Amino acid sequence: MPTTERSGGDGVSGPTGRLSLGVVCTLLVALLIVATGLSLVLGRGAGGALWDLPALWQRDPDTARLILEEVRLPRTLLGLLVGATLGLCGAALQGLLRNPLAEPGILGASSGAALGAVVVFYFGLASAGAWLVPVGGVIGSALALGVLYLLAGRSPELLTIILAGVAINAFAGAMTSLALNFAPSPYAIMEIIFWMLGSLADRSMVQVQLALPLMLAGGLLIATAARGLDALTLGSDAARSLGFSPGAVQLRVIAGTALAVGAAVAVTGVVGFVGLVVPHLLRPLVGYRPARLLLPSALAGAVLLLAADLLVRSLPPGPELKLGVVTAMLGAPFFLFLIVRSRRQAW
Amino acid sequence: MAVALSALLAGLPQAIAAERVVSLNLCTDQLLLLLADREQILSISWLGADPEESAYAHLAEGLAVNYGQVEQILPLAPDLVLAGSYTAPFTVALLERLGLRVLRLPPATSLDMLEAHIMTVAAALDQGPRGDALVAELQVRRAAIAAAAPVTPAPALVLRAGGFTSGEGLTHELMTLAGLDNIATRLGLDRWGSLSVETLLRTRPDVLIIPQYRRDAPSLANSLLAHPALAGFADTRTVVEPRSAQLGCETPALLEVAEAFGEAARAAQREHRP
Repeated sequence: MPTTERSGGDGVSGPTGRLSLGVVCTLLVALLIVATGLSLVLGRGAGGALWDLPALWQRDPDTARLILEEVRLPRTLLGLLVGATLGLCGAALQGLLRNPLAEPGILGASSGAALGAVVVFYFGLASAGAWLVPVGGVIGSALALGVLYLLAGRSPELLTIILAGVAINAFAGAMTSLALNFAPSPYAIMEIIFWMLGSLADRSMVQVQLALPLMLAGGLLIATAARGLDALTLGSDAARSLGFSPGAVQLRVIAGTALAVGAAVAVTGVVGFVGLVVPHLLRPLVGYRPARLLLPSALAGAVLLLAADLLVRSLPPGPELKLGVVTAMLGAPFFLFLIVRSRRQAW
Repeated sequence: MAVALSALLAGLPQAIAAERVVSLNLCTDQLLLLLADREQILSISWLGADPEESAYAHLAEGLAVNYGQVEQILPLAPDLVLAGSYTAPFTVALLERLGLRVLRLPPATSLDMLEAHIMTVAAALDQGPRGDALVAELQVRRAAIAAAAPVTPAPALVLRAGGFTSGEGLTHELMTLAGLDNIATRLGLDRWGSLSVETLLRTRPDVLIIPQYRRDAPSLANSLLAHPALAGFADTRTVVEPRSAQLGCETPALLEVAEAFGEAARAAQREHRP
């Protein structure tokens, strides 16, 4: 378990954290509890007030309970799960690829999932049942993963994986544009574009049930690769001598990411920057070893996404701003700030 | 007897007269505004109350608007929700999961479909006679437009924002009905496609149809006719400028547009074929 390890000092990969992992995780859990609570009680109702649950509860307890249990609870759960997934996968991929720019999108998992869901929209299957959209997304991300393995499977070269990811992203993007070109109506195009901007609005427990098992399976798969990721930072040969097969570690992280991110994207659309920013945010606190980063990254990803969703809901009444727009708007400048600040020190 | 009958009717979804209706879609908003008693309408989408988007925004004055989110709809406790088939699928699925009756209408692609939609919505609202009367009126107007159409159709082209044009579909049907020959059908476009400046220059329409949509908002799309090569293109032609709101949805406003097309067709015939 990461918590039992010595807090750095072994010089595996750069400076040690300034805080113990336990302290960081406790702080993040506290933040997460606050964000979860706020996410459950705040929301714009018919009157446009952000805090109207007590009033509604007195007037119409049945509706209030319905809103709490069937609207806000799934929204909060998905915010938590998707945020944790993005943070965890970002940290694992940055560790695996030893590339500070790595994030779930880089393997093509996000764009593959987006393509799968768009195809479901395009053939009008979405009207047969909203549950088909996540299914399309997972199939899309699984296909992207399959192609990645055909392109890069035999070669343990990380560069090949990154380049294959770039190619898959470009192809999936082009196919998505093609699907938009042939979309049955301008209304369908609008719906698809809005969906791709990412949102948690009006998701139900059905989506939670669909996405939860896949996200858990993906997350666990990545967790089993944690020690292997640490070993890999010493190089493939050193990892092999420590008893870790680089190929197996790669497979676990990549398959885990495809599963978890495929399910996440299919339910919420593409929410960018969380997977990229969160590990950078935490590295100065917990150190540079990939295994130490995983749990805090998952927690911080969940906090960040819930906070972004709270911001979306707190804006003045109107058509809701998309979550992916907010995470990019806040994430990009912050990321630039991180780059400028850390330019002097080697990654 | 009455109890037994109402119990029997309750089993038929169409037979339940909706008394508290919410609409989530611009097009269903307008049908609702036209067919429902005002007391039946709980709220319409914010677009339905916007005169740039909705041909019947004036009927929406004083009505509550929604932004299409479940949290805004549930406290209203509607017994019917109107939505389009492309309305946010997650929202519609959640409403259905919570036991609300949702009537989803696909975007209409023909005037026959408009009439069918009117009948469907009128039946759901228990406003059958109002629906019948509206459809009857539309049929009379359709016949009148067809009767007044010139024998030789005038070549015409639709220039939507961005050079979008219509090769088939509703606008095409309105043009054909009113005696306009839609050149776009010979440009190899299906329901809607883009026209380049070059293609436009090669065409010789007598009538130009330029739907007006938010003229004040700066957009590349609205500036197609400002291209230097097209200076004067519209000057020598009969121009019809329907509001986009009249064309965007299946509503009776479509026939107002068709009537304007008919006038343009007759005007073009007087000017270009003396």
